[in-house]
Amino acid sequence: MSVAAGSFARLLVLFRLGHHRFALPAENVVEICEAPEGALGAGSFQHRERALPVVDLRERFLVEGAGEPRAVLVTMPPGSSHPIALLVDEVDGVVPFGAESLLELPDPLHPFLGGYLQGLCIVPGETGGDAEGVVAVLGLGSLGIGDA
Amino acid sequence: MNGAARCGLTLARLGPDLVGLDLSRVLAVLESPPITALPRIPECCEGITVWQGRAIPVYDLKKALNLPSAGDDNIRRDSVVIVGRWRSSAVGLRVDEVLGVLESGAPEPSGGGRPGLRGEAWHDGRRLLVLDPDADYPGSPGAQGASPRAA
Repeated sequence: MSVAAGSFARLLVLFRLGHHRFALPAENVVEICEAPEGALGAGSFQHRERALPVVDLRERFLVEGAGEPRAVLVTMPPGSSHPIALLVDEVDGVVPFGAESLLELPDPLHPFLGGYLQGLCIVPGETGGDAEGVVAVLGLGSLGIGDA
Repeated sequence: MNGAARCGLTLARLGPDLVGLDLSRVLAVLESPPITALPRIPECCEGITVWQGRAIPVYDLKKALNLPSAGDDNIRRDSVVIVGRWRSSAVGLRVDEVLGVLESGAPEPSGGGRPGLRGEAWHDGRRLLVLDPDADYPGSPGAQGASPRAA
């Protein structure tokens, strides 16, 4: 029996900035690391003997966090060969998602978030509680962090 | 006047005022829908909710129209969201309660001038704010409450 490649579920890495929930497709994440002390002030993150540019996502999204970021997502923006370190408050886990879970960013919000998000996603098993499990899917390509 | 089959004004309460939206623009009324807050959006936008498989922004009409909201915290828990077509998009508009439809004899609004409003009128002794769903989206650049929220 053959299975079409498109039918495989993709994976999302879930993370938090303040009380906001975000996600990033796992294919863009090279590694999840613990944030070193003083990571916020550091201009770079040492990863496998390479100094990577650091982006504080709380600053990008105007989000206030409690204390120091606890995790670093080493990411590879699409079409780039230069990894980037993203500081986040916490990584919640990895979940599968299908195309049917993806939601477009509503037109009225494009002027505010179109340059930061690639859309929204309903996360399986997260109904009830915090806003029905809808997470904002970060747009690495449009975030401008390739130039960071 | 267009849409004779669905002519009328949906009336809702917004604090001491009434607010009216063309019936032809009303798509649904949701009771306490779950809202996902987002950063960097205008102060008058609470976040998004999922309606019929789409993410739609939900606006606090009091903030969008720059109306006072003090003292309404208890009422707010029971408030509802009108899903309406604003320009070309479905949006959620939070009001205190939906009162019904004014099918005929709707007062002609006058005044305008305020973003998002076609004008004001009086109905049953209360101020009636008639929405203009063809105006800029609430909180859009240039409109009231457009500054992004710091979360």
